[in-house]
Amino acid sequence: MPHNTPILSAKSISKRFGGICALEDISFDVERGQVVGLVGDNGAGKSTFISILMGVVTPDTGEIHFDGHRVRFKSPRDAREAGIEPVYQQSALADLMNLWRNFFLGREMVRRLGPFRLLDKKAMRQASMAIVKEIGVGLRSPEEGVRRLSGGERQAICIGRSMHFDAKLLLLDEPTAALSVRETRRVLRFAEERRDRGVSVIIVDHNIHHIYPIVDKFVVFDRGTKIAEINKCDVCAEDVIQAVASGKYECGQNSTTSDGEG
Amino acid sequence: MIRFLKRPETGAVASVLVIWTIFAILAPRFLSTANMGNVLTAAAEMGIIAVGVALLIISGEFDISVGSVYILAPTVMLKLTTVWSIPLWLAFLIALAVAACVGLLNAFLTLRFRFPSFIVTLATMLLISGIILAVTNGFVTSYMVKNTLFDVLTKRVGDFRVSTLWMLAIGGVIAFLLDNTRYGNSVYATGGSPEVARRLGINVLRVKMTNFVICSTLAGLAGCIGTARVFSVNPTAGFDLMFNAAAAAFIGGCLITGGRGSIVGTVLGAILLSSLSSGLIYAGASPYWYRAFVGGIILLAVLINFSFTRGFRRAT
Repeated sequence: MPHNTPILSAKSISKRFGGICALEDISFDVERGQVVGLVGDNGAGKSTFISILMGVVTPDTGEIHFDGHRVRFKSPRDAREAGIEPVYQQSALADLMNLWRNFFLGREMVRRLGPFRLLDKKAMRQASMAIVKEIGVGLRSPEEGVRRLSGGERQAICIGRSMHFDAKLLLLDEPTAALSVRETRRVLRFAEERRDRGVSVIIVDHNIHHIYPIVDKFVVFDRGTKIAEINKCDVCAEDVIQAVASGKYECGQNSTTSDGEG
Repeated sequence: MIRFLKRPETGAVASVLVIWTIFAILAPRFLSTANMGNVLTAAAEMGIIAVGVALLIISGEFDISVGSVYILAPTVMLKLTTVWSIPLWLAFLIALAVAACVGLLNAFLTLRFRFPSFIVTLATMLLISGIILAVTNGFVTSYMVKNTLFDVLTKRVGDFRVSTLWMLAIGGVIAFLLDNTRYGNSVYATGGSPEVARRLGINVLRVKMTNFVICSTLAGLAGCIGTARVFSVNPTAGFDLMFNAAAAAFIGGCLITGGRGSIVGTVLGAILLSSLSSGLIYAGASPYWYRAFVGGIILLAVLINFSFTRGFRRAT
């Protein structure tokens, strides 16, 4: 494995929906162990970009390189198998299903019985419960339903899931929306812990103040184009908010494009 | 204990016990093996359809056309044999394939164009039963020859019939698959939280399509079993069965919105409905009350199901 290359490298990604240009010529890198804040106003193209990384949408042109290889995700399954794990509040867990079924949904552990492959329930119960204990979500049994969990706990379970499957890149979509201050901090701390273990993170969020402390680099989208790529150490949160609000980023300051063709 | 009460089939188990107790007190002959044989024979044909319908409901779709497929498959089978002299076994297999194709058509129209399956299958039901009526002119098609296929499907053994075993076997296999395989897990997720399932890499459309096909094929099989029992098929029948099969699925704890339901409960639901129809006669009531009772029981089942979902909404 080439460990000096970026974990993710997007090269000239474009995507049109009908006549509307959702993304145009987007290029940027995510380094290993880096937390990237993908920000922009509504309709900037953040969701489309995330959908491309998740294999839900395929780009019209451009290339994605992940972990040193060019990838073409045809489905979310491909993306997850490559090591990209989604962390959502709303659409991450199936409400009517219990913990272990949720935890392994789409990637169940199986044991062979002659020609059949049956769910290895015992192993999945143990593995899911071990992780849940580690991250401190208050579920007493792997048979317990997940419907009472808060948005923060749901994301914690997703992050726990990414730990189990050893994901290399986490996609946090609006992780702090509608969360209490305490929960927000907890979710972001989990993300930080993953980062400290060399996992890369992309956070899409409106609240730049919330994510500012943990982000290493901001990538600002506006109406489908990348208008800025800023290392955090060069700016304060207000500058980023200004860029998002105005759709412009003045390069007069110390804007850097340390890793990409800006 | 609480976990048992929360299981989707609990309502069905309780209702069967209550109904049997009531009828046993009102008419002790209700529990005779002769009557139990009749109850299970009627339950088998309804139950095989209901199991397919329940599987489809759990994955979030619905099929009204099973009532017409129940007539279509045996009509195809008997017409191929009597008019075209195709061997009965082969005709049977072709009939099942035709039923499967109806499922594919339902799936295609529902999933490709994103039409609600309720409307699509309402249309295909009317289309199919209309075509059958037009082709047969409404006449019964008969095949009064003893043969091994019919014996395999529904041979009479004492007071009981082989078809009951078919229902138990099919119900058992599907219940086991739902609980113990990856496919089962993805069926529940597809029905309950399609968006979650899709984002986690489950091919939601393929799951639904598979279940449309299974549902329709089982309706065709049930039709062939019914025909094997009476050696004929009546093109004007089948409508009641469709409602009863859906009722059995709902009594069995299936949520119309998908994601939850029980195959065991559905089989019990079918047994409950056929017990009701024979029990009313044994108890001396007019059998015309049957429908009214089914209506009441469905409302009760829905009440139980919804109290479950409401409970969970309040908690979130």
